[in-house]
Amino acid sequence: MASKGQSLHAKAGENIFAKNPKVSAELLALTYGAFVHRLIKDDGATTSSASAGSGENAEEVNAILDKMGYNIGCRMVDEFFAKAPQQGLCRDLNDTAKVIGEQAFKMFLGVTAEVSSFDSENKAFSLILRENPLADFVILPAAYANKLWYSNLLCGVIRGALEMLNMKVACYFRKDILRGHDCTEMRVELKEIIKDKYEEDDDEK
Amino acid sequence: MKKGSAMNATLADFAFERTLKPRQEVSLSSFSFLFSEIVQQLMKSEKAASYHAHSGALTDPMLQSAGSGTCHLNNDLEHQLYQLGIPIGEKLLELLFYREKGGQGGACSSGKRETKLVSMLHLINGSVFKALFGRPADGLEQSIEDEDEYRILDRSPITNKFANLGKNSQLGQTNCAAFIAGLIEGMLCSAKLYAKVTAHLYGDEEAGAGGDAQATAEGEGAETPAGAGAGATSTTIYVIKFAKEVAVRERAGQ
Repeated sequence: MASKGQSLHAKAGENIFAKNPKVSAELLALTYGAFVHRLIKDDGATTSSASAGSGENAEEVNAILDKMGYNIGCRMVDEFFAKAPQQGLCRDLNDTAKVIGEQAFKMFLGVTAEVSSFDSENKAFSLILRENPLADFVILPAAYANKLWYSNLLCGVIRGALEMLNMKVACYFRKDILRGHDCTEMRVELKEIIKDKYEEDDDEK
Repeated sequence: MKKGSAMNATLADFAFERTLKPRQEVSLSSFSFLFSEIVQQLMKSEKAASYHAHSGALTDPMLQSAGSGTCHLNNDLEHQLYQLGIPIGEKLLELLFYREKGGQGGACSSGKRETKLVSMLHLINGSVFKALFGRPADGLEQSIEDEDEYRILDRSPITNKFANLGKNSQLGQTNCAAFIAGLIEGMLCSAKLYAKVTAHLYGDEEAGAGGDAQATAEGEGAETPAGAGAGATSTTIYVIKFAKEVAVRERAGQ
């Protein structure tokens, strides 16, 4: 049953991807790259201390990318459900992980992410990306090589999307091809499931 | 770090070996999401910057442009988008020429690059737009009043499809296609055909001659059909004005 469920998500992802209008992946990669470049330059310009090339503002850039991804994720999840209306509830985190890695990534980026490394309590998993369309043609400068998570936008997207679905997660990179590792790995940890809060209606009218 | 040099060589190899693989595509929505977030970030940083420099766009030291020094953009946001597009265009030129050498319907045959002005414009009109957006641009015209000026029409640039800045605010006049204009300018300048490219919304200005400026007609200004429907005008014109020395060089070469 596991393998059949796997290919189901992947197949659905591929179908939806094939149906939707597309743009060149290089345009996406270059646009993202130009923007990250600009963030690095700008942040360095506004802080009066060091020059922009020293890598000190890597953390700020990481934070900005994550925030941007969060905003995108909040809206992207609506689009996901609009494009895949037959996607029902996920029974557990395992299912969620598969849907994200195989269907959602395929739908939006055209690549699939492997799901792996579930921890013992089933509260965390890793997404392994063999190819990252955002990071085409990118080489990190030496000053940033160990501080900047270039594709941090993706972490924010996952965080935002899952938060819209009442799952508070922490998402961060563990490995990145741009840093010389063999693959790009994102770790997603479930912190808590947010219960819907219903506000008290005004009973007295 | 002793593995520094070896690692760098591997990274560089890795970064560029992808160009040999078949072109990937991503869904339009991911680009649109990313672009709208970029625009939001630029708006935020523009607000922050306006506290530092009170006079806004005209004193921005980044306002370096090939060509005349006049500020042809409505506001700083368009300028930021335009500046963002220029390095992208430069890189895209290299990429497309490298990838398409000798290919069928490619950018160039047998690895030769375009040096002539008109053929370069046709290239942008056709192959480049096709490679980036999946369809060729909708028209290429030459202006009759000014020989150095050309126009490319784009019925619905992808940047404008989902980015709405609100009609009433001051930013409502911003044309996100300034990004694509910067891209085109980056490509042209990188090919040494220095030009200034601006994006104009078709149908945004008062009716002049009121003619229909289709691809066969040649005219100046953006004529609008009277009573254009509200919100239906997302056609953009990229006005390309070549530098004097380029035009002289073209004429000398012919």
